[in-house]
Amino acid sequence: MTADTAAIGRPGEESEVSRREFLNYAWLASLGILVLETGVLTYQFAMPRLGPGEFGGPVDIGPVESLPSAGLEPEPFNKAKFWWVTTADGALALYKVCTHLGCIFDWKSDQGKFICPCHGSQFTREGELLTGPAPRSLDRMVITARDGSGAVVAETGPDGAPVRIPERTSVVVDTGRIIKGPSA
Amino acid sequence: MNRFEITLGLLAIVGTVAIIAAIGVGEPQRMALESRGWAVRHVETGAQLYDQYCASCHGVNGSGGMCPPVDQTSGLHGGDIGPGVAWRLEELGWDRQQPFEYVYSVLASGRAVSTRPELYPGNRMADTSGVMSMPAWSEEYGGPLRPDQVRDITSYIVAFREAVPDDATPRPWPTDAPTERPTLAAAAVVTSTVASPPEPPTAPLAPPTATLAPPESPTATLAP
Amino acid sequence: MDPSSRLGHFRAALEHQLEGLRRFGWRAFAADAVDGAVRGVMAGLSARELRAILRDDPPTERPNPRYKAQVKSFLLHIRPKYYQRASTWLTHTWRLGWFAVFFFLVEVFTGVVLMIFYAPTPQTAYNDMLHIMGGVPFGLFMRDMHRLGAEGMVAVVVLHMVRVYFTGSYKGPRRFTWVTGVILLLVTLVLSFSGYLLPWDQLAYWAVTIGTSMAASAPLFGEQVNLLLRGAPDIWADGLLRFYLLHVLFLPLLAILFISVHYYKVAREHSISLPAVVEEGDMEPQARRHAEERIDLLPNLLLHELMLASVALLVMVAAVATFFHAPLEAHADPQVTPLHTKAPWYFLWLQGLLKLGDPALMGIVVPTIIFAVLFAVPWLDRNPHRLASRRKVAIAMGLSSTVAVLILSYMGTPGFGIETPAAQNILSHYVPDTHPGPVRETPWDQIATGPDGSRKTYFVSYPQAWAADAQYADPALYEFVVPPAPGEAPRDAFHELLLQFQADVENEPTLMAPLDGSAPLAMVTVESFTPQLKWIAFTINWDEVLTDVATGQPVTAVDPATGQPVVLLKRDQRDDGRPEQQVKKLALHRDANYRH
Repeated sequence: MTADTAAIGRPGEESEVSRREFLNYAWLASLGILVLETGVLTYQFAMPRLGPGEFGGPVDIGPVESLPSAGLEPEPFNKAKFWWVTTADGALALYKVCTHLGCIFDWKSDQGKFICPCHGSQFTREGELLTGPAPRSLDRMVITARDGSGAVVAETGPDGAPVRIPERTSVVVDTGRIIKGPSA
Repeated sequence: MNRFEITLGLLAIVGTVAIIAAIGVGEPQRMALESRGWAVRHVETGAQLYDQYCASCHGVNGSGGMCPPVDQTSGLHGGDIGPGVAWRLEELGWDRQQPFEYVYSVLASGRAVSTRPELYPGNRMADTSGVMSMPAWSEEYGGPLRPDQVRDITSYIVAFREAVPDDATPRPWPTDAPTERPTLAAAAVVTSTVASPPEPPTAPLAPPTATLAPPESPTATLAP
Repeated sequence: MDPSSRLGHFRAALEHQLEGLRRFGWRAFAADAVDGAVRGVMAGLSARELRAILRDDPPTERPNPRYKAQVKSFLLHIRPKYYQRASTWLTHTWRLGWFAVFFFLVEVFTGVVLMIFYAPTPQTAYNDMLHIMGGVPFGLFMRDMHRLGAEGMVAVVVLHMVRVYFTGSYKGPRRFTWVTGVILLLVTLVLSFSGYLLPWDQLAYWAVTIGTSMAASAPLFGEQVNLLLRGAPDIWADGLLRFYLLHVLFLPLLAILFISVHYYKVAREHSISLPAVVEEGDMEPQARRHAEERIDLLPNLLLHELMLASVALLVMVAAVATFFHAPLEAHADPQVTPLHTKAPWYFLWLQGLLKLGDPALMGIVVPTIIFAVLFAVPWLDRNPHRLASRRKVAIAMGLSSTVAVLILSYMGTPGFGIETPAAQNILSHYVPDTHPGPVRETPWDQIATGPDGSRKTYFVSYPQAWAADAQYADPALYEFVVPPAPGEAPRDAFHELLLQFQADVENEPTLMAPLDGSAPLAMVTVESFTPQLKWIAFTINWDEVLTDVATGQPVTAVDPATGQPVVLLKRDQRDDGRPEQQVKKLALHRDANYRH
């Protein structure tokens, strides 16, 4: 064994981590953190932020008196993509997108039900699934009714059931909070 | 590489060159036909949108009603010669050759007041005061239509120009104004271009049987 | 002058050139200069050598300059210098991998050209399409080539994978290459999907909306992926821009990267596989030697590839010049989903899956499993053999998977398993939402109005008493459609269309003509207010049994006269007592062209 080979030594035999080695590990780790951070940064950059009034956020639809009363035809809110339906038990905001594959369905007044043009799913006025390939009844959006002072006096529960809206309140439908309809 | 392959390659390239040249020769005519064809598709879409949204006020064929006629056979201002839009532009001092953007702007942003309120009250009825005499239609101004839809309706209106022969007699303005402003309830509603089912024959048919046998369920599945 | 300075060197070189010119004459001097230029451009091949290549003569120099060219040229160095003969047999590979690259290059070229006239915003996209198709020379040609190339690329990539599977060419050293290949399949499918949105018509908008809705239903990150892709809860300006960037930048870069990795392995490491019969089967030693013999790339194989490109181009250009045209429907409308939206053919299998059950399960979980299995094929297959007779299980599984995909694709077609009310269904054949349809393609002059554009009514299906009624006697205003006598043809295309409508309506068992004869079952009206625009309306009037909305059962009542239970009609509930009616109408312009 010459002096050169002795100096090289055999791999894996060093027991202590040298300063150089430690610094390299630290550097690699910090690079890894940087990569992660860049990923998070890019994700936040690319994720859309939703403004008020646009679809995806809360939409103010005005005082409850201006909305149709019980028993009448559902009223469409096209920008916000829901049907306003007033039932005997209260109001529903039915998401206009069919629960099957995302097509926009229409209210067929002569037949008294919602029918989707894509694959023929049919739903009652209250959004219950009648027939068709859709897996569940219509989704609902959360309705919030506020009185003059801004306090919340009524809100759709987590089960999406119709909610009674008191008089002299103004109604906001949150298009970002959609409750899935009950499965068929 | 045998001669067969070389010949095949040569013929293929010659064929390709020939076809492309043939396409090229026909291009000017095809482009003219096609751009005209696409342009009139805008007119067709505009016609259907007009029928849905505008006919109730402006008349089924643009002939007017509560609101001025838009078929350009009569002036939109004054009683003088049409075609109305070009005349109006001239009167305003604008380029009479560019009616499209003017019509688009009116459709998109609406009209606060009618230019001839005694004849054409428009949307402003006795019992809906505060409403614009012509609503804004484009989303840009809070209306229900997308800008491209408003442009289609504009194409339809501007296309009426083509229907007017050069020697057309301009239709005069109505001279007698209504004494009262019409109300919404009394406003004539002109329905769409399709009438309800035509009248059944005058001779009565044999009456149907009183008991109806229940027919097959209408929810039969359809053949693929 | 000091020869070691820069100016000195230049002067010495110049003098050397002039010396050569003087000694050998200007003709030889020029020939030498040209030869040097040719060699410089053609990676060391002289003009004489090029001529020898075209004459199929042996090389003119030693060492063989053709091999050297593949070292000196960047483009050529990617290719192998030689192939084993059997791996170039047509029926072994069908050149599918090569065609995949060919189509990719066609797409890049036509795509970049189309980008000149296209801006990806909702305000401009559709009109840019119209401009390309009608206002740009060869615009329609480029667009159709781009669409044809896209469909060709998807088809070829899938077939290539199928070929590699059935020849067992994913085993051993080729496993990693298979993985990059499946990645390329995914990239190709997403390229096609992202490009599909760009025309911004109803077909594009709803096909992509449905596709991304599937992504939204995925567990864990589905919502976030959907939002990232669309840039908003719904597809609009943000979505279009993101899809555009995916389509023209991000995915092509990925494709180039993975094509490079994929092809590098093929060209440098394990080469195109030999047919299994050569590797493992019984062959005469002489035949085997012949099959394994080396063939140089230059010149014959390269020229063969040029021939393939020529023929493929001819086929594409001929198709585009005659029958192949990419469709364009109406402007994208996020409020209205058209009836019978169809996925492109390479996604029909997915649409078929979706008809089977829950979108999340069938749209996300099952395809993920399918692709996971595809990736894992080289490791799932423990059989070292490639010969078909020694891997019967793999062959059987491959065949049954192919059949399954075909069945699913059939199930994905619009007619299958979809319930649409009869009247709406029939009317949508004549006045479709998704394509021009037969009415718009009928010659303008044949669709007759009454005199001066007044309304003419064509009674298509009607009680016989109506035909005799005096109020409908004027043939200029009313026509009762009757089938022609046997042996006679319909008088024109419009008449034929009316007869077809008549047959459709009368043969539909669920459509009852109004029971009291108060309205015709089917009629068509045509009128025009201006000479260039006709309004054509298709109407169906029918009676329908009143059914309970919840149970779907007919509602019965007791007839007061007889005391018997009777079934109620829907019209009994209405004040005017009119039968059900569905109308579909369209405005048709004289100059509209509905060739596509």
